[in-house]
Amino acid sequence: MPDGSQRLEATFKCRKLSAYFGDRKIVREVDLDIADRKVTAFMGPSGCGKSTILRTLNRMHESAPDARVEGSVLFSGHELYARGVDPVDVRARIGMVFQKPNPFPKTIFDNVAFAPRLLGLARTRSDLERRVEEALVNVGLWTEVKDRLKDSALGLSGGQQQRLVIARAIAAEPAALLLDEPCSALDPASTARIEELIASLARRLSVVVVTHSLAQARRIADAIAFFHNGEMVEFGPPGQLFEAPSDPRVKDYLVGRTG
Amino acid sequence: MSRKSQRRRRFAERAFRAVATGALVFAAGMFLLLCAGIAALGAEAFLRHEARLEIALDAAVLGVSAQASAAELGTADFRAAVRRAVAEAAAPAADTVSEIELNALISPGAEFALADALSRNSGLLGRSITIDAPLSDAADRYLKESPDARGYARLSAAQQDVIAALKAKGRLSRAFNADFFASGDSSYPELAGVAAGFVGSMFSVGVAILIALPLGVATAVFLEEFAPKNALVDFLEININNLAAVPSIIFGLLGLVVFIIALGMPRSAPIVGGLVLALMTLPTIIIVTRSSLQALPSSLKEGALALGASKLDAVLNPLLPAAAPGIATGVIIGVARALGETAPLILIGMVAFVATPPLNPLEPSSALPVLVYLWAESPETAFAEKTAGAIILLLVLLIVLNGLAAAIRRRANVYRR
Ligand SMILES: Nc1ncnc2c1ncn2[C@@H]1O[C@H](COP(=O)(O)OP(=O)(O)OP(=O)(O)O)[C@@H](O)[C@H]1O
Ligand SMILES: [Mg+2]
Repeated sequence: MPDGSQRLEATFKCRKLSAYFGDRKIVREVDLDIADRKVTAFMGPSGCGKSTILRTLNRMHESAPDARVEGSVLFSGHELYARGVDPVDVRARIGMVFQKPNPFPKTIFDNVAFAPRLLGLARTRSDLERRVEEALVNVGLWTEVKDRLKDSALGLSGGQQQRLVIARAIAAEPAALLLDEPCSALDPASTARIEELIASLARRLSVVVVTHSLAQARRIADAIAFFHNGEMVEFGPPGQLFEAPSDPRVKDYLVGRTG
Repeated sequence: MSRKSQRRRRFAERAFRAVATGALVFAAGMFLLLCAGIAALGAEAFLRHEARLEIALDAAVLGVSAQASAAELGTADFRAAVRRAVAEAAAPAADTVSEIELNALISPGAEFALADALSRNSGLLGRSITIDAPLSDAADRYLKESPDARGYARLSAAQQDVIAALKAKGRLSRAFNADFFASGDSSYPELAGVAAGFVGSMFSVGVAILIALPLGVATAVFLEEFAPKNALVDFLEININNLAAVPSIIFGLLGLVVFIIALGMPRSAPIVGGLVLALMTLPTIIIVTRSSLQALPSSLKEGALALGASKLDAVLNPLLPAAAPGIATGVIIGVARALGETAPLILIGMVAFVATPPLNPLEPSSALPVLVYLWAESPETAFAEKTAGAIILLLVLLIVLNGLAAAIRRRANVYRR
């Protein structure tokens, strides 16, 4: 992977990308282009493989036992699955937020400071504090937690935890961000806040969001990939996908017959 | 139908509660009984009787010249001086008592104290000093058991008269037995103490922790996170689990053969004891560390990996700290077991009679539980209370360790919510 001294085109090009758990093929030969500085939404019925394909984009999938990937993913022109590419480097450049919030059993501050410390991003203590504050402000959590940064992150509510793990991911300064249902536990105000954040992040990097909300996809997505049973059955801008879906499975999903 | 089954279930629950409560009460009762028994006997070990004696350090009585050198003072007959002081203090009751009988009333500790005082200040020769001389074990037991009972087998009637006379003159007192904590072992029960065993135990357990903790945690991390899944590793795992069930005396044998005979390490030394205890504790630490790591949600590791942590980074940072309370609890329980272990230490020679506490783990030493074993075997009845006293000390240490484990668990729970 090239280092980020000059800004790279954070594009993904997936070719014949398949993912397995043991013998079960969960993602089936997906060809997909994700544009730089755009928001791409993954949609589809529950269990269709959205989370799994998302995890192939930063080489998280293979960390599970028996998990295997076939095909190719080019990230800004470089093959992520080439021999000699260290998944640790890939994950440091491509951030990911999981479907279930997973704060570390540490203080709120230490959670957000985790990646800056690990990757050596902050030069001084005050620089570190500035980064933590900025990340927390960005996810709209700062005013709620600024007086309790030394408290356990596990004492936060579910929605607060969800915003905390987003803050933790963006504090790593990724070139691309993969968000798995980032607003599933949030109230409308926090959802709006995260959507704003996604829009502002998309000015600097590419963002992939898994969502079940049609309204949210319509509001934030530049492109939508629709999955069904591990296959990508439709891809396009939200207008086209919602107004004139070409695939019957997408139509069924939109009118609530599946998913 | 549902009503009937509900009644049955309620009955089952009540029966279960009754049985469980019964078991708890039984266990608590037995524990209290044990504590009460040991405390009643052992409390006496912490007190002893002393006689206030005014001892004339007369050159003639001591059998030395008036300007005796230090070397000459080494041969002085302090026993005669003590005897004379007792006879004076108990006069006229002492007139009918033989020298041997008089000697048997006061502990040699008095002579050691006199020799000590003179060697520090030779000007005392020819003067008289007042000391609180510890009574011998026989006299002490006599006073502790039945101060007024006649016909006590271990003291003659004449000796009992002397004690009664000393008591009537207010010479006898019951004092805290500092020797019990400050001294090493002694063949005189009234002078014997746990210091050598205590220090030896601390050295052994310290060495054991220093070796077993890093080695055990590292092994567990390797097996859990890095080891390939193959038959060899499975075999290794099974054997580690089996090691935890091996009788401790086998580890002692191993220590004797490997460390002392093959490697030529010193006998009776806490360093070898520590190595043996480390081997014994290692499987426990490996097992608890692994199960603590397994108990963590996989999302924790994934979260760290997704932020660019390598496997080792993830282990060092969120995983081990999150597993630390579980590991600490297991380690403390392992250490508590090691602290009470006797058999393997006996095999490597830590049963030696050790009068002075070791200054480092290479010096010969005893251990607390070994001391209990040694004293329990001794014929003098006075060692019975010493045994109980040492057991109390051991139990207090174990309770402190377990309290520590409970405190760590509680703190961790608060943090986890
Ligand atoms: N660790 C795993 N081991 C085995 N199978 C798995 C594992 N994780 C997911 N799967 C399977 O992979 C398939 C796709 O799961 P995935 O989590 O990608 O679905 P999803 O589209 O994200 O669903 P949802 O919208 O409910 O989050 C499911 O059938 C699931 O059972
Ligand atoms: Mg999912």
